[in-house]
Amino acid sequence: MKRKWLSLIALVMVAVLFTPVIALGGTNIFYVDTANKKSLNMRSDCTLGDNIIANIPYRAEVTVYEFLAGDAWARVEYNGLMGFVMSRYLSGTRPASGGGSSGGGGSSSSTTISYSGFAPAYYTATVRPSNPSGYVNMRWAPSKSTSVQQIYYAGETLQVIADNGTWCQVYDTSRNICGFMMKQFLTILSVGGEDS
Amino acid sequence: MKKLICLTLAALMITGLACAEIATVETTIPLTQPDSPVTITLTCDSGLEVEFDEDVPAGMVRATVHSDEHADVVISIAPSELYVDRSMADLSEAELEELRTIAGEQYENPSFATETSPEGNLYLFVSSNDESDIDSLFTIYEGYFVELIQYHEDYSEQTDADDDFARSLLYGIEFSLSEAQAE
Repeated sequence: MKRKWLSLIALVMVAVLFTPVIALGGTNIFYVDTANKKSLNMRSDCTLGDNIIANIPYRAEVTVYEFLAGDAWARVEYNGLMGFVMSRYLSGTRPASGGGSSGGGGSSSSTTISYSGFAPAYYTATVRPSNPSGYVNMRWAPSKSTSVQQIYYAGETLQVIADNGTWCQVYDTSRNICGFMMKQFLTILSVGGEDS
Repeated sequence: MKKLICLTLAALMITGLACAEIATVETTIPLTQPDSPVTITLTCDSGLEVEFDEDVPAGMVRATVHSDEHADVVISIAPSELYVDRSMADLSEAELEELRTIAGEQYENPSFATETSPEGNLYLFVSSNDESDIDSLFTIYEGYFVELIQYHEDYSEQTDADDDFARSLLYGIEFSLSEAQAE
């Protein structure tokens, strides 16, 4: 009887240990999201040089195994080939085929204040400005017409707490402020605050 | 007569010394790491405080130029996979238009202008044109985006003097290919 209980406890512990891995298993699929809709270079190492091994088309699906060099690069698999791509050109959601990035920030819905359609979310995202050297506005409401609360630079990390497809409600744990950011300028890194 | 000459000389010397004191002392600060394929430097008033952000993704440089009188300017440098080995001047009009569209995506009514530095680098100026005043000027040099972002701490409206300050920094930025890259 005692042995049965011990086995059961061991089973539960194993299940608990492996749960995050299973949960993250679905989150390491990313899509190529280049601002100019051109293909993305896959390289043999994390440098910009004569090391291109493949071109991955816009919107193509890749599997991310790890983020490297301060999340600037990602080790990915595409069509059975392993290599490295700059992580700023990856998105957790497949970008629209016709035009516009994921979330389509140019729509009129992004200029009128509406809190409808927001679903609770819990994931970590990094800021991805349209220019690699640029910044992204955090606004106090989900509209381009509202004032800026804070600006963020590439690579800064935020917690997404709600999402309506175009806007995300984000929480900055280091500054302890909350606001709204256009989803197209965020790259999902992990779900539930764990690294993928 | 001698007295007058002495007095004039003394006056000239004092004026000269005063001018030397007033003259701006400039300093040149490297903005890129020694192993970077491009070398970018900033020559500016040595009295300005330039603070480098160490918490940036690999390959990026971000420095804030603090000024007592004007809105701070953040100089941000980052490599782009989409413009490898290309500069702003190499881009077609369609590509420039595409850059304008992308750069203004997060604003309701942005305005754009181009600015050419004395070095001949073409910069794209983006103004938010909204309640929160944030301006940016950027160029691409050999695949690297170089951007100057200016705003007050409270994002209040910027003055012409603020613009001139950013422009003076822009004019102090010099680019060259690193030796290994130039060979």
